[in-house]
Amino acid sequence: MTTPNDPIFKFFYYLGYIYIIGAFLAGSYITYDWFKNRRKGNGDN
Amino acid sequence: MAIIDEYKNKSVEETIRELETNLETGLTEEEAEKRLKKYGFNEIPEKEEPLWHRVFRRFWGPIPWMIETAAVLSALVKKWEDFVIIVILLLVNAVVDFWQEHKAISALKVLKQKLARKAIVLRNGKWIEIDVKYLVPGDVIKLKIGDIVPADVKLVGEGFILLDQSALTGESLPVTKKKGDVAYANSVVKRGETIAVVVATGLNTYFGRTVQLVAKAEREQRSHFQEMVIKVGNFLIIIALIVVAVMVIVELMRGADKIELLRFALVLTVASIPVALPAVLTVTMAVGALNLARKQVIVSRLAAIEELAGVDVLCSDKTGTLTKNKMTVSQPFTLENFKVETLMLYAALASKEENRDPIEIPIFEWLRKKGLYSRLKECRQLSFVPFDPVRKRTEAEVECNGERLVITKGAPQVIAELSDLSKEERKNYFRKVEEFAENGFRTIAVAFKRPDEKKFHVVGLIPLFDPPREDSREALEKAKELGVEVKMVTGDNIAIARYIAKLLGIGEKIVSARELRGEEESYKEYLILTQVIAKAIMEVEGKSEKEAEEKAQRVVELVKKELKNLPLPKGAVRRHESEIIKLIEEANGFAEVFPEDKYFIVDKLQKAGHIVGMTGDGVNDAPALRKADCGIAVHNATDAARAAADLVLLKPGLKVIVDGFQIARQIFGRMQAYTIYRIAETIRVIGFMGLSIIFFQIYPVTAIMIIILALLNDIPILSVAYDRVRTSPKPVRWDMYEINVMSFYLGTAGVISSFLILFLLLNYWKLPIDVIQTIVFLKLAVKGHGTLYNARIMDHLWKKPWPSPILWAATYSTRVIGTLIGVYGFNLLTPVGWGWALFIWGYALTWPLINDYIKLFVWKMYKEKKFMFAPGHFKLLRKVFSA
Repeated sequence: MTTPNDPIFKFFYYLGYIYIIGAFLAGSYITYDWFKNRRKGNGDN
Repeated sequence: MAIIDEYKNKSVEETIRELETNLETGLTEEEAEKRLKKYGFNEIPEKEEPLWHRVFRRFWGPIPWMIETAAVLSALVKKWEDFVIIVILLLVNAVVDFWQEHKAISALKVLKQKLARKAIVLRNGKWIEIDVKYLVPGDVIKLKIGDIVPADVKLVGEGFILLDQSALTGESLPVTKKKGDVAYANSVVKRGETIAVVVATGLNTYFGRTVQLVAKAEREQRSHFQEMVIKVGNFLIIIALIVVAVMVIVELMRGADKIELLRFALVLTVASIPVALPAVLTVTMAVGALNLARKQVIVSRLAAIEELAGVDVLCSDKTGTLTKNKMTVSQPFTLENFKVETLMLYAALASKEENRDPIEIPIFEWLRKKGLYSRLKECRQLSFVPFDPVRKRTEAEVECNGERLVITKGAPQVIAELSDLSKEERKNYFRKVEEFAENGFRTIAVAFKRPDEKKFHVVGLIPLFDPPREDSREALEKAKELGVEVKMVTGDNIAIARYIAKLLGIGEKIVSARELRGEEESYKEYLILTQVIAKAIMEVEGKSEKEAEEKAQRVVELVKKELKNLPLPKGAVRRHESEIIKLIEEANGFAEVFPEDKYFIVDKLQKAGHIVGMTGDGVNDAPALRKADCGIAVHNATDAARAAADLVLLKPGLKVIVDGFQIARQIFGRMQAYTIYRIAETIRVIGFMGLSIIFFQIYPVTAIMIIILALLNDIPILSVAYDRVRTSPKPVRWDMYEINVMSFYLGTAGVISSFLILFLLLNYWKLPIDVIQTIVFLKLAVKGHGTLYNARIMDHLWKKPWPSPILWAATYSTRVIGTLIGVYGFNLLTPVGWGWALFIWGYALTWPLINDYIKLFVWKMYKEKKFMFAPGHFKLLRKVFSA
């Protein structure tokens, strides 16, 4: 489907890329951090 | 007639014969096994709901009916894709609900198992401890103070016991029972110790027969917080129904398709109301209770978690909780010419290790620690006279390396009387005794003589005390950090209490319970009155003023002596309650406390507005534990105390309780976050849909989209109970108004963000309605859980503690699933492609960042009681929510 070619759309479109990848990376880091702390015995609270 | 009644008039011998048991050896394990098969477990079986009922219950009720009607309507208009999705929603809702309930039930079962009562029973000639549920008729058991009688029994041991049967028979006073009497299951031993033979178990007991007809699984009591949330939930349901009703009327007047409209109205109602809220709260508490159990804190009712989170004053027992409950030798004092080693060796020689006397154990431990224990073998105890309260000392004749000695140890005053202490030595000796007493030590004096000597030669003094546990200081500091004031409660004298308080840094203001009761203070008024009257009488009798005053003083002394032994009647002159409350609030600890005083202390602290935690272990602590907001039965507490308490500790020490505070506050935090999220969601969905349809005549999403959104919302619910949250640094109390204010602002922000995108799509880009609906669906799917992240912590959402991986995975995956549905359509909606999907991710995820600032602004304004945010500014809403 065609999408508009104006600054509002473009702004959020590129922001969307950042979020979709950023949220994934943040989640992966959270999971790594959780495992790291869990090994120390305090992953959950 | 209950079985026990048949045994009332039978003799002990007859009972034993009939039950085929033996008082010397008890039953054999094989016989017990056989009888267990015959009579069943010694428990009142709970009527468990059958599995099929638990499954089908999910499809019966107002919410399932709405979904089922929507499914039938979809089938009628032959919208088969819609029909399938609606049925899936129905099933998913049922599975989620079933899983939640299953989780809660399993948690409660585990807790119950941990709380199982034990009995000491004679089997195969040995006394062993077993779960009471394995008792069978014929078992010989021991009953001691604090025990709850585990079955109907016949008393066969010598001596008396005092039994509280009030819960069974309604008798308010405990009754004395002796050999040959019967005792009912579930009565409490208030005094004494005896042996008994089990006559009837489980449903055959007097108690069992009484409850048999009404036996059912006890429903878990709801906490204040749950009650309030359910009230708010009900309020939101009413609002949702009103909005939907208005929408239906307006649309009917506009000539909308009736079946389509009804279908839409039904699914909108289902999606907007917080159906799962109560279940989520219960599961969050149940999962939290299991976490507490891992820390050795067992919750006897889930609702107590809320109170534990709110405790701001903890009255903690000293012995065993703050201290080790184990006497230890401090710094001994010796007279000139004697070494500490000699003092301790002589003390050990005047003891008998096998007696396990708590005063003597530390002496032997000291010798072991210093490597001197083996030197005891150089001596032989020829005779030993044990301690008795009249002589107040022990005495032993020993032979060491061929030399005979008589050694004595006991109360310092008694030993001094028997000794040859010089004037100077005597002065030093008693100065030291006094110094030890001031610090609350128990002091033992040790002296020896040769058999032909008359007087003993004092060797020295051994101070003993129960030292603080290693972890107490740290736990006290942690409690302070958490905003909980710990007040020490002890039956010991004030000197010991002060010394321990000093060691632990509790504070030096230790108050005697006598002072609390206002005993001496209350005499004051009487004594003044006595003096005035006595003086007046003397003057009438013709005595001079000076003489009258002297005689009046003597009368006052006599009256004072009498009053000390006289319990004052109710209503007698006492301290003013506010004065006592102030005294209790300012005290760091209480000494010379009887169990009844504990109740008094809790009552007064509660009157001052505190949420009070109280620890206890004895049978007489039960009323105070019940009275406290959070009664805590400490490690090794009696059955009666455990039954009265909200929490049962399986490990000694204060640290366990402090850990409990932290976990309870985290559970509270999770419940609060989910509640804010769910209320905000309802406002968002109903506000946006209702306003769009009623005022703008546009359906922003289709019925099927609402169903898919509801499905996607169900998934993260399962992860809420495991989220990581910040532990509140202060005791927490539910503030429904705060939750509602926060939800209102976050929900309203959600409505604004949805209208903004609708405006852009409709008026700026002028897209066709089916495309707009998919893009709005995408927005709602991607943005929905953002509010959950906003509500998690009252700080920026990127601050620690970060969400648990399970929460992140649940919310991220539902976003991705929602996105894929929007991008590809799957014959359920118009596909819009990745371009719009990425635009929506950009737009929708900007809002949680904006909401983050809104949340912190609202929170700050609320705390500062600013206009439009603080209690009192929405009087009507406050009435509704805080009723």
